[in-house]
Order: sequence, then C-alpha cells, then structure tokens
Amino acid sequence: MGMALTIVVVAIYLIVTLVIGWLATRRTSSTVGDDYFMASRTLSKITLVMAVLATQWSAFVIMGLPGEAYRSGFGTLGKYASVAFGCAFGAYMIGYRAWLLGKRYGYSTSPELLAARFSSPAAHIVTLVVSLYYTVPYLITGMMAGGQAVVIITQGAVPYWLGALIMGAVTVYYIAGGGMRGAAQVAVLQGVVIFIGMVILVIFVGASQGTANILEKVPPNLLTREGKFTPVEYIAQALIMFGNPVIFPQLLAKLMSSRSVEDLKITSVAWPVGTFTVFALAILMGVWGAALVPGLQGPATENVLFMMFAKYAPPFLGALLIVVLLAAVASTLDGQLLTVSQLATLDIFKRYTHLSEDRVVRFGRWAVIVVAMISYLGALIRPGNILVIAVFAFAGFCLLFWGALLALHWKRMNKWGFVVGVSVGEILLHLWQFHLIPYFPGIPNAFLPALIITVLLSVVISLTIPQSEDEARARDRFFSVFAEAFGDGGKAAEIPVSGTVKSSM
Amino acid sequence: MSAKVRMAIPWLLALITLLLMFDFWTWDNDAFFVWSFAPWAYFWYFVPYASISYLAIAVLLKLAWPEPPQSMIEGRAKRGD
Repeated sequence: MGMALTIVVVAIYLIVTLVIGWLATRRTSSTVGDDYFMASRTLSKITLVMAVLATQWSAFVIMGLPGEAYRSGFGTLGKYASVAFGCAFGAYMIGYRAWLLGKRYGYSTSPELLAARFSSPAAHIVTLVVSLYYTVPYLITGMMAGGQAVVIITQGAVPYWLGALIMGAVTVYYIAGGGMRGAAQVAVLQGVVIFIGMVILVIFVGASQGTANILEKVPPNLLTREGKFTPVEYIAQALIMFGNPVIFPQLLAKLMSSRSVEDLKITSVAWPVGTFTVFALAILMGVWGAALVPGLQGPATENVLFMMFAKYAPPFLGALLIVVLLAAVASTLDGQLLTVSQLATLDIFKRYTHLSEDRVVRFGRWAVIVVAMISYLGALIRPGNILVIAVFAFAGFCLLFWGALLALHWKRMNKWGFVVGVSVGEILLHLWQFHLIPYFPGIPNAFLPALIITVLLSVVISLTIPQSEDEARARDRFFSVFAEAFGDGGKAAEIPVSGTVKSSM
Repeated sequence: MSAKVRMAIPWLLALITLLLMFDFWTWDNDAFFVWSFAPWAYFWYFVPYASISYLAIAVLLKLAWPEPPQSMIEGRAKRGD
C-alpha cells in the first residue's frame, strides 16, 4: 500500500514536470541561442526567485546537510549561516554587474565575461576549466541522489542504475527542449514542493514525536560545538559559503537572465532568506534523526531522513519526502546540465570553431544529452559521498569568486593577476585537500591558505605588471558601464591607459 | 552619496556579518535551552544572527544599489570584443 501510494505520487509529480517542460519547449526558439540558454533575459519575479532557490536547494540540502547534522549536531547551522547575508552580497557584487554587462554586451557565461574583462584567452580558459571541473562532479552527485531516491521509493525493486537513468531522462527531456525557460518554469513547481514539503515534514515529526521527547534522546555531544568543530574549520566554511554560490555557472546564468533590476533585487532578498531557512530545517531534521534513528555510520547518515520517515511517518508523508528529494535533485541537475551545455556550446565550439548562430540551439540540445550521458556514467562509478563532493566544489568555486570579485571591482586587476592567482590557488587547494603536501604552518585547513594566496597573488601581480593597451581598453569598457549604472558620470571611461592610476571604484 | 561610500557599504556589512558568525566566545552557552527544540548553538544565536543579516540586506538595497538609467538597460550595443 505504502509503496503503491509513493509510486503514484511520484508518477504524478513526474508527469506534471514533463507537461511544464513540454509547454516551455513550445515557446522556446530553435534558432536563437540567447532564447534557449537565457530565456531571452526575461525571467521575472516569481520565476527568477524560484529558479535561483530551487537550484540552490540541491541533494546537498536533503541528504548532505541532514547527514552532517546527524554526525555533528546543531552547530552545523553555524558553519553554513553566512549564506544569510552572503547570497545577497554575491548577487549585488557580482550578479548585478554581470547582469548589466550581459544587458549591454550580450554576455551569458562567466568565462565569456572574464575573458572580455581582461581581453585575454588565458582568463577565458582558466574560468572555463574551473567552471567545468567543479560543475561536472557536482552534476554527478545529482544523478547519484536521483538513483538512491528511486531505490528507496521502490524498496530496492528498481535498481540504482535504472533509478539514475529515469531521473536523468526526465530532466534531459525538459532541458533539451525548453532550455533556460524549461528549467525556470519547472523550478517554480520544484521550489514550492521543496519548501512546503520541508515545513510539513518538520511539523509532522515535531508534533508526532514531541520535540522535548526527541531532544532527550539526542546524544549530548550533538548539542554543543566544542569538540565537534574547530574555529579554523568554522572560519573556512563561513568564507566558502559567503557569496560564492553566485559564481556557480548555473546560478549566475539565472541571475543574468533577470528581466529587470527590480526582479534582481527581489531575488537578492529571497535567495538568502530561503536558503538559510531550508538549511536550518534540514539540519534540525538531521539532529532529530540522530535521536530517532540512531546507529547510522558514514555515508548511510545521508539517508537519515528517508529512514526516519520510513520508520515513523504514514505512507503519504514518506511519498512527500521522496517528491521533495526528486524536486531538489532535478532542480540542481537541470541547471547544471544546461550550464555545462552552454559552456560547451558557447565557450568552446562557438568561440573556437565559429559555430553559426542558427546551429547553436541544435548543438546545445545535443550537448545536454551528451553531458547527461557522461554524468550518468560518473554516477554509476559513485566517486564519493554527496557532502564531500559538494563542499569541495564550493571551495573551488570560492577561489574563482574572489578572482571575479577583484576583476569587477578593482580597475588595477590585470589578466596575469587573475590567471596566476586563481590557477595557483586551485592547484594548492588540491595539494592540501588530498594531503599531497603538509598543511600551511599554523593553518590545518586546505581552503583558507589557498584563498589567502589567491588574493595576495592577484593583488601583488596586478600591482607589479602594468596593463597592456588592449587590457586597459577592455577594462574601461566594463567600468564605464558600472560608472553609468552607479551614477558616477562615466568617470571610469576617462581613466588613462597606463594602469598606474588610482581606482575610483 | 559618493561612489566610494557606496562601495564601502557592502564590504562593511560583509565584515560585520562575518565577524558575528565567529561566535567562539559563546560556544560555552551551547547547551543552553529555553524551548525544547531550541539550543543556543542552533536557535538562540543564529535566529538573531539571521535577522541582523536580513537587516544588512535591507541597508545594502537601500543605500548601495541605485536604479540604473533606463537608457542603459534598453537596447544592447554591439559586442566588439
């Protein structure tokens, strides 16, 4: 009975998703790349907010965070709390400027944007490689979570490989057809399902089991941070989560697709509020899981919500949780599939092979299918647990975030500062993360010293090497847009070329 | 408001919200409860923290984020890059 109900609810959810995707496909141009990849930059309030939120609420929220809370307790919220302001900071500092430049010059990806900022193919390659390198493994975690969800739904009757295949196929259908418009319109459904679903689930567990009763069973070491976290770990995670989600290509593309500044501002408020709230709910349920389903170890802790609901909830709530997971998985998976397709189409094939405009959409659709197949193969290998892959991707993107932040706010930043700073930072992050070299003296953490070195190298090199004439022209093209937008009377455009001038921004 | 002041606002707000996150001095209070689901490390510190962050967002929007001129939003120049 329970399993039949779950399958019916999931089937209804998938059919509704396919119908929305089909409607979006009918409205999407087959010959205009900007319409396919950016919905002609017409995403408005509700659609934009939900598209951004649903993309942020990934399998990491339904499986990764509760798993960490199960192991580390309530203090987990503190590690991720910087999103409460950080998302708005990122949206303002990078999202808004990228949106202005996209409106003015037609940019739609971060590699394209940063290459134009420095007039540099090297900056393009570094940004492209970093974006693809961290997005593809994260994409694989979506497929993995989808496969695991279907195994749980069917209690093992449908194997993992088939579950991941079903999730991938449904997502590919509406992304290959509807592009950004398909992703955004389906995101409205996904966002509502995730948020309302999480609230209902928390209320049900709290009311049915009694919060006081649950808390009595929580192991005491999960109530305190002492012994579970170190200050260095806390600082590193705060900086990783602070603002850097904006540089995730799937999120930046959505912000750049905003119809107006007003819509972007509303999103800048809703994004941190929604993200912090859902993180808090996921962590609360993870800790409750430690009381209600004790004894889980290692990667099994990521299934804590499913096990808790299988044990205590009536079948319809179990079905709701599964749909919440599917929505969370698909909402990130679709954005990542589209963004990798976009990077492959615009930043590799169109840029280096002169792919004609009328073939861009067809190429993009095939790219979605090919990327999905590669990710599916990756999901079959299961390269690691979801939290580890996601957090490592966050850290890697954070170094790019600071490079982009300097590029869009500091006129003296030059291509060598950007390329060397980000590249060396990424290499050191890997060396420290995988213990190939000893930690930086006094800082037992891979990310913090990599961030400091990225910023220091970027600044020192930019101050040492003057900008070329090409670079200075490219810089002035950008900063004149900012000056116009911020009402500085176009001062930026008057800055001399030498690169030794004082910055006014 | 000058461009320099407007530029300083988000950085200042970022610094304040980041410093407030590092509440190592309150870790001794973690086992403090009032309501049964709400320990210090989860509720009593981070709900006020989130509220301050949302206030910071309001300040950011109000003081540092002007409307761009309509003319620059409409129409797109040729890329020329």
